[in-house]
Amino acid sequence: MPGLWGCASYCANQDTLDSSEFSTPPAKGCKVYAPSPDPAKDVPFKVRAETQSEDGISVSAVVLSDYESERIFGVNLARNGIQPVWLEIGNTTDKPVTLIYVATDPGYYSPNEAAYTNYSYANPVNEEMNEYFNKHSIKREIPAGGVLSGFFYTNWDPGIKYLNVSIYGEEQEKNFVFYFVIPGIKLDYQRVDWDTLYKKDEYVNYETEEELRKVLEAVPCCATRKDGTGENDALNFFVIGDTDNIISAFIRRGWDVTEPISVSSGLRAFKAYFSGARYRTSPMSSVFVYKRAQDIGLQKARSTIHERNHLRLWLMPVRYKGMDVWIGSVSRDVGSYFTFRTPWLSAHAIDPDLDEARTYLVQDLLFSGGVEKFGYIKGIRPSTPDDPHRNFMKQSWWTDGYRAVFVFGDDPVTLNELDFFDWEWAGENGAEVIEFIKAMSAGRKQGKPAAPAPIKPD
Amino acid sequence: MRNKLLPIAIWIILAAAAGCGGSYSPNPPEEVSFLDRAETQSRNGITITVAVLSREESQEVFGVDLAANGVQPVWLDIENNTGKPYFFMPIALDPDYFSPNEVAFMNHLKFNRSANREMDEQFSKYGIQIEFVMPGERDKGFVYTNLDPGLKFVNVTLYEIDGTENFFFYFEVPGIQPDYENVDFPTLYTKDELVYIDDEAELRKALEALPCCTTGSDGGGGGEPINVVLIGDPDDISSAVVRRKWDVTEADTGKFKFDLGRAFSPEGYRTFPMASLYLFGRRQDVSLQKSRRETDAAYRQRNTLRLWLTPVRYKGKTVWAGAVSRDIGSDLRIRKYWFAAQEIDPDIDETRDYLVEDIILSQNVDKLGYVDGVGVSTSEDPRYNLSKLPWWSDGYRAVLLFGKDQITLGDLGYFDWEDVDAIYDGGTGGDGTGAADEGAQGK
Repeated sequence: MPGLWGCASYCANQDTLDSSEFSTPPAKGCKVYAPSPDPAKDVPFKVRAETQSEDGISVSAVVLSDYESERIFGVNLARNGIQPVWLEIGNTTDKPVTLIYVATDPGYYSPNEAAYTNYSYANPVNEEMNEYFNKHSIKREIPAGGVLSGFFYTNWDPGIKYLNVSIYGEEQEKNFVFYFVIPGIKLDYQRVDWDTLYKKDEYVNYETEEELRKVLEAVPCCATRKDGTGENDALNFFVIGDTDNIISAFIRRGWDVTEPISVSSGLRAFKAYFSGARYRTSPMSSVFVYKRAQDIGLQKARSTIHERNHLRLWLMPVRYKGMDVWIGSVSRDVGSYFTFRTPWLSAHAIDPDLDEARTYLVQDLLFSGGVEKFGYIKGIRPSTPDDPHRNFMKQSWWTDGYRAVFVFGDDPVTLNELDFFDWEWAGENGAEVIEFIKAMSAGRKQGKPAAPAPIKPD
Repeated sequence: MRNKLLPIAIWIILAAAAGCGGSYSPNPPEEVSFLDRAETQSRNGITITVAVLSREESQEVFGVDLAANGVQPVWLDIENNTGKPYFFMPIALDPDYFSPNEVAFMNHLKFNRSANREMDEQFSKYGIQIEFVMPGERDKGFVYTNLDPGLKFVNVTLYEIDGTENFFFYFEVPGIQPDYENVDFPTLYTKDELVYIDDEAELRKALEALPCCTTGSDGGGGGEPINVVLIGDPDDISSAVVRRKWDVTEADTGKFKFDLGRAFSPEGYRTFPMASLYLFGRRQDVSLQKSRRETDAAYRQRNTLRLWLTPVRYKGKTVWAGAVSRDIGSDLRIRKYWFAAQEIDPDIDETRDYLVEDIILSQNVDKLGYVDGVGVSTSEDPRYNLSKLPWWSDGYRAVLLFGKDQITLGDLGYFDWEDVDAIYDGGTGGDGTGAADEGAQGK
């Protein structure tokens, strides 16, 4: 019960100061609750509002930063894992529509619940808090021709928030998808000066798959030291597409952005190392390709800081059909250990079976609905547990040598519409799988429903 | 002096060798009996066998206590007798599944490298290969999933180049004793007491006639509203609630048992016992709960659903009266021993609407409707539960009819009863493509 002791002692003081009032209700106003009387006026969060409309329904949304939500609600909601989202839904159709809370956030907080997390013991302002949270919440039902606005209490996300506002109307569901960069946190990609990364004439555009394959296969196996020497982590995938489409696919699948290394993020990582707490945007060490640190780091934390999947991306001076091409390096952290090799005295132990993390990423991105075309190429010297590669942290890793290649499109793609590069395929059955894929591609080109010829097992 | 120190030194060395060094002695899965509980489904030439290991079984197979680290191995046997290769995607089963080396790393011993290496090998060897299962081939092994106590939902998604096949299983995992195991369902009602109904109008009357609220053990006192009715085969209902990540509840033994490991693990509170409320003169038959797992809020915040089997059978299906409410406050760790009141969200219709949305998104609901029966109350003039906490309601109870087939939400049917204006009169929607619904994209 946060605030219990602070308030109790404050009230006790009041009692001693004014003992004649002992019989009156206990210390009215012993803690003042002062939320913003008119949120939109007091805090200019609406300037960041994004609006989408479709078939007579329009949705505007803003995710509040931790600072803004404290200003508006008068209590620290982020501490309790709550992130209010302001929504305005307009309905110009002639039937009511419903905001589906559970599809928008399966673990949303009800207004009374969000208020309760900030209660202090036997405090009369609790009631006021309840009223305020209810009054400013958005209701489920938007009447025909009506406009509704208010806050929806979601689970807290750091950095970039994926918001899928799910509306049911006219017997069909509509999803309005937003991505918000939440103010108040520095992110590693913000320190990159994208315009000066490469000169305009440095980019080489490729139009054919064969050219692309050659270029990607020629990319060195591994990251290097800052001066370009040595072999560090494996460069085991490529993502191609509009950068917005790529990042939004990752965010949709629950990947988090990363804070740059700084004193405060380092301290938080250090604390999280000892407490085992979850730190979803914890900083990543620099790994070098093209003699520069990763442009973007992404991570997906499990329950503690020790376990997460993380990946780094570097923009290549290459375009494929006009799209950006990124080199990636993905690995799975299986735990942490104490070390003097990093400034925050802890490092992550990676899963040495590097292909396991690649396989995870493949599944994750294929389910994101953002990948149009997928394939594998070679380019890393295969290694085994008995004869592994080693990175600069002296951790061993091994791989079958394949790299995954993802092409992202603008429109959602379901798994059965997915297209493949008929190059090579990873895994023991790779040779057989690629035959199926070739047969399928041939079938699709002829406009036949793809039904590859069965191969008889030996 | 030297004589006295020597045995102590020897003892310390022995203790170090036994305690810290440790040893590692797993058993091959074939020798452990979990396969007796395996379930098999076959469709279009694919045969899937699944078993979920209990804590003891996983300890036997792997030689270490996996549950202590929140890991629950799921055994899979995939047989492909089709003409196409199928790719098994464990991410649809558990988006945060563990890799074999990760599970081994959690259990590594401090000073025993050879045992650690053996552990790595053991977990990798029994881990399932995540790749295409070729025609005529068979792939088996474990997926290391996050622990679900009590009931576990297993979704096996296989992808072939032109589409996906999903196989749904759910398992009762031994290890905890859910409260419904103490209920002898066949003897709850005699044959004469059962009421068979085939007609919607009659069903409506019967549901409206259910008591408004729960009571105390003596049949008196304030209670919480009976605000949901679930109709369906018990199997269909449980598979829907488990798919939506509701947990079963342990029977309250009434004994003072302080489990230190559990007091500091939110996971341990997912199946925490629930207070008894009474209807038809008896405690709830089944208690379900869904706690917030991301933060340590699992101690304080959960939704609870209590169910009682009624004597009504609608078209042969069982009818359950339910009371759903949202625990928003007091700490379970304190509540049990200090008799703190169970704080609920007083706007109890909000919780009912949440339940309706949540269960509908399981895609197991055929039909939705509302009936009267609770009685109207408002925030100015609320009613009170046993703990003297207020609640208010528009007086309606939601009725959910479960079916066998997957119902996409555009196809959801409605009972043409109360027109609960505002909420879901045109029905709700959603196809479960929320971020939390793995595999929905592939359908």
